[in-house]
Amino acid sequence: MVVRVLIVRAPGTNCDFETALAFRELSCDTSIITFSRLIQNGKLVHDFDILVFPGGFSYGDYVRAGAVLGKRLIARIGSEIRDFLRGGGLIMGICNGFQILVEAGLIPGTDNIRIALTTNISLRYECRWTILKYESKNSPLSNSLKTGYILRIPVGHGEGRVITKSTNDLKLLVDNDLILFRYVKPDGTYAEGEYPWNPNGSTYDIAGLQNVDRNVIGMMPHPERAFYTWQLPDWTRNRELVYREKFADGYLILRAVIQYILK
Amino acid sequence: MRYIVRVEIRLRKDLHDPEGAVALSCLQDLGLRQIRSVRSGKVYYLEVETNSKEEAFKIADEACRRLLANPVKDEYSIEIVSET
Repeated sequence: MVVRVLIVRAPGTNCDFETALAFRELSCDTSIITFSRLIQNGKLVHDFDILVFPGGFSYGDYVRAGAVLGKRLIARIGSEIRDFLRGGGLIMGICNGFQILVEAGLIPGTDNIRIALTTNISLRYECRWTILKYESKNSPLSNSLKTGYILRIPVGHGEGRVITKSTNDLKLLVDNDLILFRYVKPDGTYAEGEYPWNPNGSTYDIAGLQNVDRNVIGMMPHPERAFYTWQLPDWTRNRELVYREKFADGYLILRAVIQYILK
Repeated sequence: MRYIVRVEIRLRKDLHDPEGAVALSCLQDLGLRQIRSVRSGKVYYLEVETNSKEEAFKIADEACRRLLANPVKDEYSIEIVSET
């Protein structure tokens, strides 16, 4: 079976090409489509297994990052999206895509848990490598990633700080096993808000989340930017690794997404 | 009737506002030491065509709830500025 991946490009999206390249490397049948075309014909989603919202600055990040696309998505083709998920599809959001899915309410997928993404504490666009710990015991990534697995993936965003409305909302995220990734320090302990290991001041060091139905996943770090070993920042010091291994940690995440469909 | 409605969106008071904090430190550098705190916000002006002030207010409120403000992190206020 060939996994069919649809990558949605909106005005301001800038990671569609490399995300498509990564999925094509994984032998997926990958298409890039504009958001305006998608909302004209929402049934298009049924021709695909995975819907990906890549990174960028959709609609110029006006109003709030991801807000315009997220709200329009639900207003225009919300029912198709729900059918797509019910039919076994998976939605993934990377960086701006994560912001879109949170604004759309697809993550966490229930009104009972109230979260938002807001401006980084540093008030800067944070473009740096981060270290993540895979946290979930049961997510679409669990087929390939073991709980506690450490990955190196870069971030590049200005509004990546996950906040919850109350501490109870955070408790619900933890209790329902919705946290996919947390930022950690090089020794593998949680960053506990410490900069730069937690690059944005995210609550509980949250870097990625899933929805309650475990079929929508979102993360601020960019797996497609850590796909090949030659994309790693220290590849010149680790040339042996580059010769030996073609793929880096981002590959593991995207492969896990594919495995979820193939399982 | 056409109403101009001013909508102001602010980060909730209990949340850290990096933009306000940076502005405050800069203003203190500029010698304006009397300023004790700065909170940032965003203002939208909506031109609403409807029958009454109350209705215009209601529509603006819906606009805030559904798009302009994020209830998790924002608070907002609505003011009818003018009617023609």
